[in-house]
Amino acid sequence: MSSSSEWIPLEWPASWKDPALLKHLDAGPFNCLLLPPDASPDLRAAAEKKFACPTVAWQKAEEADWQKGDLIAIKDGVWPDLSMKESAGDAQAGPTGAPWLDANGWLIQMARCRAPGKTIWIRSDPPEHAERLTPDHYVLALSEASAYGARRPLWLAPAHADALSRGVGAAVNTWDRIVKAARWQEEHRNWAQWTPFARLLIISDFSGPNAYHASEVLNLSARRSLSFRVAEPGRFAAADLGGIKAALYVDAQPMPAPVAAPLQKFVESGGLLLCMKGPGAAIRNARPSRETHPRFDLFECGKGRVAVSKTEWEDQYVLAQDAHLLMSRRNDAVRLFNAGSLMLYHTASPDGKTWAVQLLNYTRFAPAHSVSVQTWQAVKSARFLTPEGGTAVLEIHRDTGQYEVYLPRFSVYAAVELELTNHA
Amino acid sequence: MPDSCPGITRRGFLSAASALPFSSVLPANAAPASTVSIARCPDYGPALTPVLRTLFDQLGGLAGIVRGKTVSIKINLTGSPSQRLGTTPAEHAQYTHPAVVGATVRLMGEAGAKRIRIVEGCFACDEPMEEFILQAGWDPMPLLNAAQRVEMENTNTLGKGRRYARFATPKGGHIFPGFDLNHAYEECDVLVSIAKLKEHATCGVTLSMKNMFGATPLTIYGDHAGKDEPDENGARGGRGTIMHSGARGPATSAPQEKDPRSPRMDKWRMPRIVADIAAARPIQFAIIDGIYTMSGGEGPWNHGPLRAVRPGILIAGTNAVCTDSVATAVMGFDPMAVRGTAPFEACDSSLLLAEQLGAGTRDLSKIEVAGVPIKDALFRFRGGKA
Repeated sequence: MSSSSEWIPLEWPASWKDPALLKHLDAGPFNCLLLPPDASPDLRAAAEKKFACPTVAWQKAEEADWQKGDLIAIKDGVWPDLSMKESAGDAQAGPTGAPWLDANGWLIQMARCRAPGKTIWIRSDPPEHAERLTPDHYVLALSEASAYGARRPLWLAPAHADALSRGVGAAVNTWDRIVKAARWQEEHRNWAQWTPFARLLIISDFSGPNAYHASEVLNLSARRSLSFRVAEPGRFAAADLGGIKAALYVDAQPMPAPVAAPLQKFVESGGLLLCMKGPGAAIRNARPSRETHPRFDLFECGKGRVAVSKTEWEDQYVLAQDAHLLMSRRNDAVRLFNAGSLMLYHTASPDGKTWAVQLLNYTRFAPAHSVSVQTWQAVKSARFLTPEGGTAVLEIHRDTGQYEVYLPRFSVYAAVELELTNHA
Repeated sequence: MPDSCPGITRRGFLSAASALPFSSVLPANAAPASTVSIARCPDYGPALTPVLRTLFDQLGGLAGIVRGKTVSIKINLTGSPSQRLGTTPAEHAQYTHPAVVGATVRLMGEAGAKRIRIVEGCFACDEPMEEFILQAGWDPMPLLNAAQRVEMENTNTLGKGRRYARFATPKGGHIFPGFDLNHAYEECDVLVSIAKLKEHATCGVTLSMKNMFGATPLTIYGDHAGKDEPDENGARGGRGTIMHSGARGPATSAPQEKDPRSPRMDKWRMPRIVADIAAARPIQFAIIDGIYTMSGGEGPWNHGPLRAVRPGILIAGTNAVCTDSVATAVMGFDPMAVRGTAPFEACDSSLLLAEQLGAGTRDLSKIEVAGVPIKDALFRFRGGKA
C-alpha cells in the first residue's frame, strides 16, 4: 500500500487511545490512518500492521507546492453545507438571491489542474457546531471529494467518535452509513477520472494577484451550474481547447505566447475568448463588432469573437454570468429542473459514449418537487445510482428534441449515468 | 372585514379606504364591453394554429388589428425557468406555452404585422430573453423565425431603449397614478398580453391583466431598485418590497404612491396595482392559454393543493377586463364576485377595480361570447371538470 492514490484515509479520533478500536475499520474501505501526533506506540504499532500511517504535509491551497510529492493535501477546504448566518439562523443569500453554498468542487478541479496526475486530498477545520453533524453531513463531505476526483479523510466529530467507541446504537448506525457510502464511492471512482464535460475553459495561473479572483470565478461558475474545465498558462496546450466553445482568460497580465497562439487559432475557427485588455492585445486581426455589451467591447476575429472587458474584473459572479451568456446557454450540455441547491459535476467517458452527472445536495433536504435532468443530446439509456438505493433504470422522456429523466428522491448524493446514442 | 383581511382592523381599513380619492371607487357604468372569443384546443400540436386563427377570426380577424403595426407581445414567464410543478414542464403549468406564442406570432406576421417584439420581465434577472428561455428548455429560434422582424426583449431594465416610458393611470389610479415602463410598451401600436389561465395566491386569478404586472421594471419596482433613479444593475430579486408589501416606494424618478397610509397588505395592494397597470397601459389584444395549465395557484412555489390540469381552452378578446371576466367564468368562478367570495376569498377583485377605472366591464350580460359558449367551456378549477 505504498501509493497515495490507493489510500482511503481516516483521521484517527484523538480520543481513541485503545488499539482495540481498530476493529471498527475491519469492515470498511479505509486503509490509511492519520494518527494524531500523540498516538501511543502501542496504537501506532497496531495500526501500522494493517494500515498505511503516513505523515501528511497539509498545505493551504494558495501556498501549496503543486510540484512536490505525489500527494497534494489541501487543508483549507470548507465543510460542504448550506452557508448559514449564525446570528440569524438564516441561509446567506448570494448575488442571485440563491443561497450561498460552502462547496469544494471548484477547489478540487483547480488542484487537479495544477497538479495533474497527483493524488488530491482535502480537509477543513471542524465545523463550528460539530455536535450537530448528521450522517448526511459525513456522506456529503466524503461524496463531494470523491465526485470531483479527490479524497477527504473521514473526520468524526469528538462526540460521535466517543459514542461509537462505546457502541452507542445511533453512532454505530451513522458509522455503518458512512462506511457504506465510502465503500460505494470507492467502487465508482471512474466517473471522476473521466474528463469534465464542459464548453467553457477557465485559464489562470491562480497565483499572486490572480489567486482570489480566479478562484472565485471557479466557485461562482460552479454555483451557476456552469460546467468548466481549468487550464494553467504555464502548461497550456492546444488540446486544452478540445470541445471548448469559450475560453475565459482571467489573469490581468499579458498573455504568454504559448497561450496566445492556440487561442488565436481557437478564435479564428469560431471560439469566443473573454479577457481583459492587457491579455487581449495578444490577439491579432480583431475588428470591432456591431454587437454591444454593457461590460465588454466585442470584436470579431475570423469566425469567432473576442470580448474584452471594459474595466478590470470587479464582480466574479457577474463575470461568470457574462461568460455563460456570451457563450450562450445553448451550450449547456445538461440542465437541471427543481435543483434548488444541488450542484452537478458532469464528466464524459474516454470514448465519449457515456456521461456521468454527479449531483450533490448541499441543503441535505430533498427538493419539494421532483428533480429532472434534461439534455439536447440523444440518450439511449439512463441509470440512477445512489449509495443507499443501488441502481435504477430511468425512463427517458423525449419532448421537442430533448431528452429528460426524472430522478427518484435522494438524500445528499446521486449519480445519473447517460448512455448516448451519438456521442458528443 | 378583519376576517377577510388578516392583519388589518376594521378601523384601519376604513381609515385607509376613506383616504382614497372618490374617483377610485367610481361606479362602473361607463366601462366598455367587447366580444370575447372561446375555442377548444386539445393540445399544442398541429391543431393549435388553425384553432387560434378561428379564435381571432371570431373577433374580426387579426388584419384589422395588426396590419402595418408594431406589436409587443407580453408573455408570462413567472418564476424561475428551472422550477417545475413536479415533472410538469413550466409551459404545461405556469408559463405561456411557446407554441401559443409562436403560432400567434406567425398569424400576426401573416396578417401584416410590421414588427413584433416578444417581451417579458424575466424572473429576477436582466438576461436577454433568448438566454432566459433556454433555461426552460425552449429554443428561441422558432419564435424568432415565426414571422419577419421578430425580436425579444427582457423589460426588467431599460433594455434597448434610451429612457423609460411613462404611462398615466386614468382617474388617478387606485395606488399608482402612473408607471414608468420599458420602451417596448410605448413603441408599439398594439400591446398583446398572452397569459395563462390560472388561479393566483394574491389576486384570486391571474389572466391577461395580472400578466402585465411583470412589465414593471425591476430597476424601478424591484427589490433592489434604485432609490432616486432606476438602477440598471439592480434587476434581480422580485417585486415584493415595493409592490407587494409597500415597504418602500419605487425609484423616486417614477410616479409615487398616492397614499402611503393605505393598507400595506399584498392582497389589498396587488389587485389595485394590477388594475392600475391595466388602465395605464391598456392591452389591445388579450389571449389566454388554458390548454394545459395548473390549478391551485400561479406557480409551483404556492402552498396548497397544486395540480397540472388540461382545460383544453383558448380565450381571446380585445378588452382585457372583458376577456379576463369570461376566463374567470370559464374557470368556474363568478367574475362579479367581490372580496370574500371565490376566487377572491382573501383579496379584492382586480376585475372590479379595473372596471372602476373604466378599463372594461366584467358583467357577462354585457359581453358577447363568440365560439364555444361559457357553459360548454367550463372547467372548474375547484372541484374538477364541469
